[in-house]
Amino acid sequence: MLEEEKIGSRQLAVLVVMFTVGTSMLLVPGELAAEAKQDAWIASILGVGLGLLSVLLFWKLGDRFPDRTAAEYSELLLGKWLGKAMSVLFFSFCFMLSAVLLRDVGEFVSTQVLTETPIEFVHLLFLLIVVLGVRLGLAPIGRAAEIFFPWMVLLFLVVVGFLWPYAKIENLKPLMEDGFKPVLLGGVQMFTLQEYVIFLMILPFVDNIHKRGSAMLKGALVGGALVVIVTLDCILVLGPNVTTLYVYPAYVLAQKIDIGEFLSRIQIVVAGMWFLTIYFKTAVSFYASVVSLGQTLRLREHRTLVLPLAAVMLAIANIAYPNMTYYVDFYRNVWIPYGLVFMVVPPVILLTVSYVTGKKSPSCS
Amino acid sequence: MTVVGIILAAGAMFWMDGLPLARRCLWKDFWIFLTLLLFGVGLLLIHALKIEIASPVYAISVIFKPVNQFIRGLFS
Repeated sequence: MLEEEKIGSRQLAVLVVMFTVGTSMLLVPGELAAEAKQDAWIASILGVGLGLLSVLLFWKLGDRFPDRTAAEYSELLLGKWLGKAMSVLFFSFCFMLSAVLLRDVGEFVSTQVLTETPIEFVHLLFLLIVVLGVRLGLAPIGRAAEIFFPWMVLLFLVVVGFLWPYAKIENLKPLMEDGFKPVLLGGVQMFTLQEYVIFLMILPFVDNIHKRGSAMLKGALVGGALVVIVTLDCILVLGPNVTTLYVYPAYVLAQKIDIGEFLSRIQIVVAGMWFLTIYFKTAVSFYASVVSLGQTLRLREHRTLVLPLAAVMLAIANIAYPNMTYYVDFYRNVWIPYGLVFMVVPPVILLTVSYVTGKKSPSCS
Repeated sequence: MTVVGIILAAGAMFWMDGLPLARRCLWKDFWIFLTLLLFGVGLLLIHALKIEIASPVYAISVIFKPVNQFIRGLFS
């Protein structure tokens, strides 16, 4: 975790795609269908739009401080103590996000795939590879993402392609049955599940300053398109009511695939794709939390924080939710305001203060 | 069994990353490392011994549930 190691702008774009697809692929269709019923796909498009707007905001903010992370310039802008408070809040968000993501994996694997295995072991195994990646640093994570990206796209195309015969266009009707408001709420929900604010900690490690903003935008667009396609597929194939019933509709969707009684039971392909993407999401947000804590406390080396933070993260993931119902309720009712507050308020405050005081990073290379 | 495993793992982490900090006399880093490690190990032990404690997710829920009601009110 040295300052010299950089990732390329294409790796950033791929990481953003992975980050977007991460949790959203499995969770978003069900959640949006619960809000917007058959209009879930419109809600997801809206959510992607909001996500792109937020990326523009982070782009602007990041470009005012090209070589500093959010934790560093919040101190520069708001003064020592207020700035520290802001970066601690930022750290708490990144860290909670990574713990919750770890729990997502555990929850999915222990309820759908390895039903006899205790959730703690799933957490431990997944955390081990996350720790391995984060200890190596951002550059290896970026390169790994670049290697796995074509595979993810291939698996995605296989699943989506095989589902076309099952699609029923009637499932989309009637359009906008309950007016626009549920769709808007669904859009906001989708937006809060894409925590691009994490990338404020990653941007300074991208080598090309002029390309990183557009790379982030491209990544968000591609990742968003993938999520919209999955949501549309769920509604088209399963219908809005069935989609709402399941926590992981995309997984149920893939169970439907049966080509001539020969190619069937490929739902684990969806799961595999999801493991790939959520790995990068967890690794990036854990990396961001390690760096933000290290910079807030002004530590010499951030790498030493990885192992103890991982222990805390494992503990939080283990005790996070008592049961599945609580988990679904947390995502549908608590994450919206939590995500909104942490993803919109701090960057807006920082950007406003930066414009008002005219403070920005002097070195622009 | 689990308790022994957790303590052994914590010892290994301390040996890998904690001791080098002390050898290099980075005392601030060392104490932060130790505090975090003890905190994490404490939480893991509490979970391993099946003692019920409130999860941080619960705290977030308590704070943000009213905000959620407000946001939903705007959309209904």
